[in-house]
Amino acid sequence: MFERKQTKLMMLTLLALALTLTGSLGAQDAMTEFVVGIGETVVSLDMSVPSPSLAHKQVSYAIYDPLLRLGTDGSINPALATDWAISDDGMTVTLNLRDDVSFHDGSPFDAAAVVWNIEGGMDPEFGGGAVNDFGRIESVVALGEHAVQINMTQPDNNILLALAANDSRALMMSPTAYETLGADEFAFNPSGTGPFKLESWEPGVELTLVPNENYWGERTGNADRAVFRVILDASAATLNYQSGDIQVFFAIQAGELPLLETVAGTVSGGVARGVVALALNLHAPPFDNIHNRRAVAHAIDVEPVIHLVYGGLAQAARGITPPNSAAFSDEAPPQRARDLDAARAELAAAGNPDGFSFEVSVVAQPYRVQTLEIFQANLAEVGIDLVIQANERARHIAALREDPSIAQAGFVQILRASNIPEGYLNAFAGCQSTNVMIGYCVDEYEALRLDLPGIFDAEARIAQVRQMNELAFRDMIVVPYVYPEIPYVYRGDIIENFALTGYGLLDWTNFTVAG
Amino acid sequence: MRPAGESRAAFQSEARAGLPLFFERLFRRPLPRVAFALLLIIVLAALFAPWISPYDPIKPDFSAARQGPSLEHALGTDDIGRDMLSRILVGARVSLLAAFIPLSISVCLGLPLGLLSGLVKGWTDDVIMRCLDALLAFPRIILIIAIAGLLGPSLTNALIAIGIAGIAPLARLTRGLTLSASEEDYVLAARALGSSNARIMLAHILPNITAAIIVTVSLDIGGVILAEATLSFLGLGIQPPNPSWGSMVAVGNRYLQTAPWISLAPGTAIFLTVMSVNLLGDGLRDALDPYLRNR
Amino acid sequence: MGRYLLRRLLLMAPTVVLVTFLVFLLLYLSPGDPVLMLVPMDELDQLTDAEMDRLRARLGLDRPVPLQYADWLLDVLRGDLGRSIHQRRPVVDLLAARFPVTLELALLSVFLASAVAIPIGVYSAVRPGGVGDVAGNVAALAGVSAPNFWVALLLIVVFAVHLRWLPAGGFVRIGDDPVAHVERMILPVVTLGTALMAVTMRLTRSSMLETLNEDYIRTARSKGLSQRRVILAHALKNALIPVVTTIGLQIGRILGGTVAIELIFSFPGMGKLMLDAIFARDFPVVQGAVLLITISFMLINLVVDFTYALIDPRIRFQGAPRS
Repeated sequence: MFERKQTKLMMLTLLALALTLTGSLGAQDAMTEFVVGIGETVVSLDMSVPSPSLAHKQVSYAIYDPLLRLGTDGSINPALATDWAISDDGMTVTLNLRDDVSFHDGSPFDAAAVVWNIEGGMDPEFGGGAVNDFGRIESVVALGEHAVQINMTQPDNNILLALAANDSRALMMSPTAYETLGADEFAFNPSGTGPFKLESWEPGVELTLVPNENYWGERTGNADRAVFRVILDASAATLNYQSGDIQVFFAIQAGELPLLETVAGTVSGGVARGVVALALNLHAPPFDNIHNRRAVAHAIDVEPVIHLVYGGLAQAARGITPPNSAAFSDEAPPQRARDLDAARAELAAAGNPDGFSFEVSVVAQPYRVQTLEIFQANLAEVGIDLVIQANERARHIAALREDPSIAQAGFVQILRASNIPEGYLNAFAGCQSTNVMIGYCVDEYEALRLDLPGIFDAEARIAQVRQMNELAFRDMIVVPYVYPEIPYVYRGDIIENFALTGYGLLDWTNFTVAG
Repeated sequence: MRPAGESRAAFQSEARAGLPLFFERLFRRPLPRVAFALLLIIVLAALFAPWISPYDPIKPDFSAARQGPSLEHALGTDDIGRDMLSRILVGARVSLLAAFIPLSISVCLGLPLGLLSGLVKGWTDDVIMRCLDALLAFPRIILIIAIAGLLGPSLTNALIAIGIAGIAPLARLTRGLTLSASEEDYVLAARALGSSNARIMLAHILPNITAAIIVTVSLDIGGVILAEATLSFLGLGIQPPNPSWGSMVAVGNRYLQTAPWISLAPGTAIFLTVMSVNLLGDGLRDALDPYLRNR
Repeated sequence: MGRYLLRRLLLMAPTVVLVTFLVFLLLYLSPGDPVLMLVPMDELDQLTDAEMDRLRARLGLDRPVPLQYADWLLDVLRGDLGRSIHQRRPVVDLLAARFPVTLELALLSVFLASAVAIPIGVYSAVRPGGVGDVAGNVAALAGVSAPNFWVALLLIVVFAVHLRWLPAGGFVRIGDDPVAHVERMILPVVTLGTALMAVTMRLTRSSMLETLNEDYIRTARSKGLSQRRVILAHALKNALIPVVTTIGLQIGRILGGTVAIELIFSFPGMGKLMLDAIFARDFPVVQGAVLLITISFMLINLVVDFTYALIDPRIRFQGAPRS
């Protein structure tokens, strides 16, 4: 009796398999689509929730539009706002809006929608990380149906950039859809004004966008569908690109690049994106002593990191301002070279000539750990014992914020492609920082930092940022080690008109997919 | 279900015959012999790793990263230029630790718990059983990950987590054995003679279930080594630069196309070790418990 | 029998509650704050404590922990598994998307394992000690001894990197593209099947050996029935009883044990879901997933026990399921 049951079951399974196989012989749809491989799961598309990943920004920027758009050359260009003006005292910003735009849900884009979005951004609860960008806004009011005025508490030379950001509340959500659906539903039924809208989304698998046929702007691309496929494993992603399953691959591990480049038709490139530094806990031994910080800076060897971790796609860092910032200078701070004697001298000056031991907390990502292992070997040569604590992200954050005893050092990676001169400074220092490790709070520096947003003159602004940069270098508040490039590849034989946005994200409104 | 008395008697008579007979039985067949030899090599390699390693296992040679097997580096080099062979030799120590520490924890806590539960019965038994059921129903690897996450990432904590997760299955087995042993004539006789629970447990039941426990534990060794490897593979185990076979496989995962030896070599080491432990465990079972032979 | 069933079902309840409480406790005690996991790393430092508190209140994480657990439990009893902190979706939706993936993996690998292992096991038992038996035994041990992540990588190197026959990972829904779906299922299923094959084969062999020694088989043989007929008609049927039991239990076990495989093959299954949720301290998701797996595991056990009792007349339902 049992046997028969099992046989039946077996037959059924085989039948199911056969059906599956024959079913697929049906016609393949002749859609022009391209598939982008992403290494992270996209979470919520509600812009009031902070954006956790590059992939997320990529998708958000296709669904939503900002009022202003940042050009690849750092210029501010019109988007949902046609023109704008800042008053001479810097206290008011007025923007005229397009009058021919509607959201994906059909509701009109107007001044009321802008007020709703910006006010949301000013509210810490719904700001989605825009709170700092909008921190100097006092109020926003509608001037008629298609114009708004932003009133400032203090002048802010970054206000236009804040309105041109590629994430959070700078991207305009539909207030109607948001309030009808509620925040939780909206998070995966987003409605913006962007060139694409969400068609389907299977969390952790893929997310499909289709063109917004009512798009207000120009879209010359012919793609019927853009698919973002989640492939978490680096090897699997590479193999998927090689087999042609994905045609665009962004933010890949640099080490994989040579393999990807062997695929026919591949075009590769890299977007300079900021700086990576080792953050040291300035408030506790051993790094409350500047000589110990300098000893570490002298002893590490950046060359193997550049070659083994970044596959050559990085430059040795000279300071915390990277080459893609307007304030970058190739004169100061000076280029450092590895100097073990200098490191030993600093150790002696610090009173621990035989070295010391310190712990670094790191999110357990392979390339981070690899970097630390290289530093570990470097530092051992001067007697400094680096203990690696590879943590899951939650514990790592706890180490940075709540319990500095867990680690004396960590990484800071500031990935911003925009060329704002001071884009890199706030993340590293400032008395307001809640990061126990990099809360560099020195009067001289803090005064310059607070004074900076009021300086509208470009030259003066750059000069001041450089001055701050030198202070940061003098006090060695972090040890910057590389300016990385984020590599990307795409199939040039399939996709034409490949372009990047000012933030180094894919600008695929104009992607043309070859038949 | 099975005539336990028969096997106990056989086991006891064998125990009287002494170790020589046991070893004769164990090594009568070739496979356990091969396994034993292999395991001996692995244990010796682990013990003498610092002296026999051709290179310093944690010192990188950046100019020689990701090199294939050669005369200088028999198993190639890893992602930052460390000698794979040396790392695998030192990694053997981790795997041996990974076998002993978790199993000791599981036995030290699971055995008394099972004995107690099986002997006392009543509500104590009920409470213990419900807790064990909960632990058993819990997906094992998730339990280990959660405990390891709570304790923090380190080799010791990973091993403790694996040990804790192993308590319930062992306690359950012990309880079952205890229950069936306590139905045996000699236990009933001892009870009739007024022996205390503690005495019955130590003098009568424990010696009679030892063989079955040893066999089960020996067959668990492989699983425990794999669990450590899996945790290290997921980044919850050993901390760099110290090598564990599991973490080495994880590193190599990124270089499957360009440098497959980085993950395949330590993976093979895990495989061979666990395989020989299992082969030996098999032989051990056959030699210890004639009734179980052929199982 | 009805009473036995009822008793078993009732006994499940405290166990399930205990499991969820255990999960909650483990996660709560682990350092890390779900709210902080929502914020990108480079914006973390700008987030003030007041902002964090507001965010926490919005997510309902500001209440005392025992209360949070009690609320969750009450909601579950009302059929509401809550919403993911991290992904914002209802937990039910996440489970509905992930569970079928893992279930399919589990069923297919058990099916594959049985299809290969049972014939080999029977063959070994018929000629114990023969070359085929020893080879089968060694192969089985090899299967149990190979770490599944290593088998996975090995298969990828051979079939995806060198031969280019199969994709290395990624998942495609059967509805989107059935061929791609099947292609992507093969390597993970073979990986998981390898370890199962070994267990099933060994069990089939020993169970078959035992059965062949039973009196009724000897009688059948002495009556002059052919060896083939004896094995297929009489022995196999009885020998398969414990095998089926184990297969059932294996399905339950695989449901919670596919983490490494899902990671390597980028499969959106339960293992990946739970791992991510544990790392993100996303309590409702971990709770919901563990709840689902635990209940499935226990129900499968129950079904297996019942099948066992139905097939094997020697086992009778007892008031107490022990001994």
